Amino acid sequence: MKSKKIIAMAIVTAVMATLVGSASAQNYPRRPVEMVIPFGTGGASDIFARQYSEIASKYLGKPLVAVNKGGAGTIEGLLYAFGAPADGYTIMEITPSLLIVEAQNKSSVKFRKEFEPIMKVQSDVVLFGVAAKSPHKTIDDLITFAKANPKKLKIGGLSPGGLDDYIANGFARAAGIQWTYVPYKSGSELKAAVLGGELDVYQDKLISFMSLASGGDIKPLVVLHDKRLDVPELKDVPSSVEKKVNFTQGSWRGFVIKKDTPPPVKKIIIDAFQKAYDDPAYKEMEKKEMTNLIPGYMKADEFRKSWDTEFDAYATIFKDLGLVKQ
Amino acid sequence: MAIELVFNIILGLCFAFYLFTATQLPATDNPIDILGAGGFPIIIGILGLIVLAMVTLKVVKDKHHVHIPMFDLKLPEGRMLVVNVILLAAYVALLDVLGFAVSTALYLFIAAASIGYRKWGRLVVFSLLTATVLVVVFGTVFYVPLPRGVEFLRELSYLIY
Amino acid sequence: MDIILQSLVAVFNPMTFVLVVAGTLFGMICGALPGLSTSMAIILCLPFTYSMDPIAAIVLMVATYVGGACGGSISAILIKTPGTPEAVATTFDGYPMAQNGRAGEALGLAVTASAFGTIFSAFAMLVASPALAVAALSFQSAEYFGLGLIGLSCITSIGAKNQMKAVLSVLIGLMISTIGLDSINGVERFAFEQPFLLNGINYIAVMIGAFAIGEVYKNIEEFRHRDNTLRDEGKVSVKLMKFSEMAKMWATFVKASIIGTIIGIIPAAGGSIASLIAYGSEARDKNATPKFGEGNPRGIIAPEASNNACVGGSMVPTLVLGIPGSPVAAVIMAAFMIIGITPGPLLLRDQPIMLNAIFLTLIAAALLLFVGGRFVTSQFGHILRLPYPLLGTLIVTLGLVGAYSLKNSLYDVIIMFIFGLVGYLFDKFKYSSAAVILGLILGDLIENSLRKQIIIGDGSAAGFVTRPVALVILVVAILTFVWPSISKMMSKKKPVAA
Repeated sequence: MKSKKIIAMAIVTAVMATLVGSASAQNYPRRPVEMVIPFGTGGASDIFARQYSEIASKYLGKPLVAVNKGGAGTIEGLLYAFGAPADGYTIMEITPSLLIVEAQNKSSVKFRKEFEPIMKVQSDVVLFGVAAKSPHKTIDDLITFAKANPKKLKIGGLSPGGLDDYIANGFARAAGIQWTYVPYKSGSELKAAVLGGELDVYQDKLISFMSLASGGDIKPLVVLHDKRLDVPELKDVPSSVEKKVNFTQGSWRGFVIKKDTPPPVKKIIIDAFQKAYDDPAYKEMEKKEMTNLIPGYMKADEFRKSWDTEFDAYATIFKDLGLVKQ
Repeated sequence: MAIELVFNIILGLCFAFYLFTATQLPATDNPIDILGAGGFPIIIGILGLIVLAMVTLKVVKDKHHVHIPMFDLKLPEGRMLVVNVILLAAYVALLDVLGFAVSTALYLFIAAASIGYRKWGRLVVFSLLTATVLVVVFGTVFYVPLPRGVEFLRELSYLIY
Repeated sequence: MDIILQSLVAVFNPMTFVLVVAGTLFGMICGALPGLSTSMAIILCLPFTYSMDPIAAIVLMVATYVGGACGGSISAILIKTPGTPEAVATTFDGYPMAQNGRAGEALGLAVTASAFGTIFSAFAMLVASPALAVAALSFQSAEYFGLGLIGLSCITSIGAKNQMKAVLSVLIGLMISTIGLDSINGVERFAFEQPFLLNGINYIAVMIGAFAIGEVYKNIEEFRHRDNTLRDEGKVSVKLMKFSEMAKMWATFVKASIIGTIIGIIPAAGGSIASLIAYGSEARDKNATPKFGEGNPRGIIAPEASNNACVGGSMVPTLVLGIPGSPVAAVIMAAFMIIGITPGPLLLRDQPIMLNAIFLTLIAAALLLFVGGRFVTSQFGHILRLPYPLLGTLIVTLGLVGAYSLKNSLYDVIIMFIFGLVGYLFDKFKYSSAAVILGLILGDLIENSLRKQIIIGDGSAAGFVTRPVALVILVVAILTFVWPSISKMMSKKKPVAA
C-alpha cells in the first residue's frame, strides 16, 4: 500500500517538474493555446477567428482552440482573458466593440491598459442602402429628405450602443442630418425589416450587404470609405468622402494578448500570426469574405496607436448620445 | 397555509421592488419610444401585484395545508434534501477552485452517498468513471472549455482537456 | 429532369451519403446532450467542410440540423432536461408520459413526428420556396408582437389546474425576461451593476434548474418511500406506435408541421417558438385524455413535428432571400459564405442542384432519424438503469455541464442552482415552472416588437390595427385568451337551459 503511495507521489512530482517553466520560451507552445472569442458562435467575427486559428495553428505547432465567451456584450470574454495567466496560452480576438465598451466605461477591466496587440488582420467596409422600391434613388436624395424631415427616416442596426449605432449617428452628424436608429436582435431580422419596408435605410458590412445587393433587392447608396470599391457591381456607388461626408468608420478584426506576456513568447505568437497572414489559405479566405478590398493589416505598434484615436472618436459620439456610464 | 402566505409575501416584495426599480429607470432619449425602458416592466409589475393579491385572497379562503419537507428538518428526507442543496452549492462554488474533473468526482461520490447509496466499491468506480466520461466527451471531443481550477490543478487539467 | 438526376447523384453517391448518416447521428448526439445546441454541432462540423465541395458541405450541415432538432427530445423525455432550446415544449408531456412507463412510446412518437415534420417542410420548400419567402416579408414587428401573444395564450392550457397561479407564473417569467440591457435603448435594467446580468437570464439555464434539478430534489424526497428498484423496469427503447393509432392523430401532425414551416420561414423566430406555439394550439383541447401536461401523446407530436418542420422552413428565406429563417440557419449561411457561395436570389439560378440536394438530404435525414433515435436512446438507456442515488446525481452533473456550456459561464450554473430551488417550491405551491419559461422566452419578443412597432409608427400604435396580417393575428391571440372563460360561461348556462 505504502509503495503505491510513493509511486503516486513520484508521478505527481514528475508531472509538476515538467510543468514548471512551461511559460519559458524555449518550449512554447507545449499545449494547445486558447483563442478567446468574445462573441457568440456563428457570427462573422466568430467564423473569422476560427478560420484564422486553423491557419495560424499550422505555424504555431499546436492547435488554437476556440473558446466562445459571448456574454455581456464582450465583457465576459474580456474578463475571461484577463483572468488567465499572462503566459501566451490565451489569445483574444478583438473588434471595435471592445474599444466601445471601454469608451462607454462599462467594464471594470480597462481593455487598453491590460492587453497588448499582436496584429490587426483585416478591415471591413460598411455600406448604406435602401430597398429596391424605395423612393430615394441616390445618397443625395436621402440626405435632402432627411434634412427636410428630421428624425423621420429609420435606420437599422444590431444592438443599441454598439458599432452600428456609432456608425449611424456618426454619419448623420458628419452629414448634418438626423435620423432614428432602431436596433434589431439579429442580422436576419434587420434584413427582413428593410425588405419588408419597416426600415428606410439599411447598413451592413460588405459581404452580407452583397448577398442582398447582388440580387437587386437592395440598392446600394454609399460606401463609407474615402474612395469607391473595386467591385463590378459597386463601381457606380459613391464613397462618403466623395460626397463631402467625412465619415469612414468600418469594422475590423485583430488579435491581442495579455500584458506582461514574456517577450520571447509574444514574438513566437506574432511570427506565427504573421505567417498565417501571408499564407495563401488566408488570402483565399479574405477574397471570399471580400475583406481584401481596403487595407486593414497593421503591425502591433501601429495597431496600438490606432486604438487611442478610435477610442476618442467613440467617446465623443457616445457622450453625445448619453451612453457613457458615469 | 402560513408558509404559503410567507411565500406570497416574498413574491409580493419581489414584484414591489421590481415595480419601484422600473419607475426609477432613466427616461428615454428617443421621444417616439413611448414606452421606454421602464414602460413594459411597469405594466408587468402592476399586473403581477394584482394577480398576486387575487391568489393570496384565495389562499386565505381555501386554507390548504402545504407541507414542504425541505423546511422540515425533523424528517429524515428533509435533512437529506437540505444536505443535497448544500452539496450542490458547494459543488458549484468549488468548480473554479478544484476544476471540473475533481469537483465532479467528489460531488458524485458524496451526493450519492448522502442519498443512501452504500455499495462503496461501485460508488468509487461510478464517480471516477462518470467524471472521466464527462471530461472526455465535453472537454476533449466537443471542446467545451470546462473550469480548470487554480494553481497546479490548472496545470494538470491542461494535460487532459 | 436532368437536374433531378444530377442532384440524386450528388446526394446518394456513397461519399455524400456517409455524410448524411454522420451528420444526422452527430446532430442527434449533440442535441441529446444538454448544453450542446444544434448551432454548436454545426460549428463543430465547419472545419471539415473547408475542403469539401459545396454540395457535400451543405448536405452535412443540413443533416446535422435535422438530427439536432430531433435529438433534444430524447433527454427532454427521459430526464426532463431539454437537450436543445427547441425541445423545451417536449418536456411538458414527454416526461410525464415516460413517468407513466411509456418512455419508449414517447420516444417513438418524437422520432416519428420529427421525421414527419422534416419531410412536410421539405416538400413545402421544394414546391413553394420563392412565393413563401416573399410572404415571409409581410412579417414585421407588429406581426411578431401578435405571434408572441399567441404563444403566451398557451398558459390557458398549461395551467389547467390553477389558472390564477399559472398567470402569475407567466408574469414572473416576463419579469425575469426584462433583466439585462434594454434591447431598444441600451439602458441597464435590473442588473444592479452585475456584468453577468447584462445579457439577461438564459432560459435554458432556468429550465434545467426548475425542471431537472427541481425534479431531482423531488425524487430525493420521495425516494425513501419508494421501492428502490422502481426504475429498473428493463431497457428503454424506441417503440413505434401502430400506424392506425398514429393515423388517428393525423390532424396534430399536419397542423404542427404547418405551424413549424411558417415559423421557420419568418426570420427572428426559430424552433423553440414554433414548438411552443404548436404545443399551445394543440393543448387548448380541455377534454383530451390523458390531459395535456400529464402525458398526452399529442403533446409530444406537436412540438416535435413543428420544430423539425422549422428546418425546411428556415432554409426557404436563407436560399431565396439570403435571410436566415432561424438562428441555426444563420450559422449555415455563414458557412455558405466561407465556402464561397452567396445565398440570395442568384443562388437558385446559379446552382439549380442546391435546392434539390437540400430537399433530398432532408428526406434522407428524416428517415435516418429512426435509426439514430434507436442508437442514442439505447446509450441513454444504460444510464437510466442506474439506482436512483446514482441516476439523480448524474442528472445533476449533466444539467450542470449543460448550463455551463451554454456560454461557458459559471453564472449560468448559479442561475441553474437558484432555479432548482425555485422550481422545487413552485411545484409544492402549485405554480407552473413551464409558464415561467414561456414568459421568459416570449417576453423579449413581445416587448421588443411592441416598442419597435411604436417607433416605426412615429410614436403611434396604429400599425397594429392597420396592418391586416397583424390585425388577424392579434384577434386570434385575444380570442385564445378569452375563449376558455367564454366557453366556461356557456357550459355553465347550458344545464340551466336544458
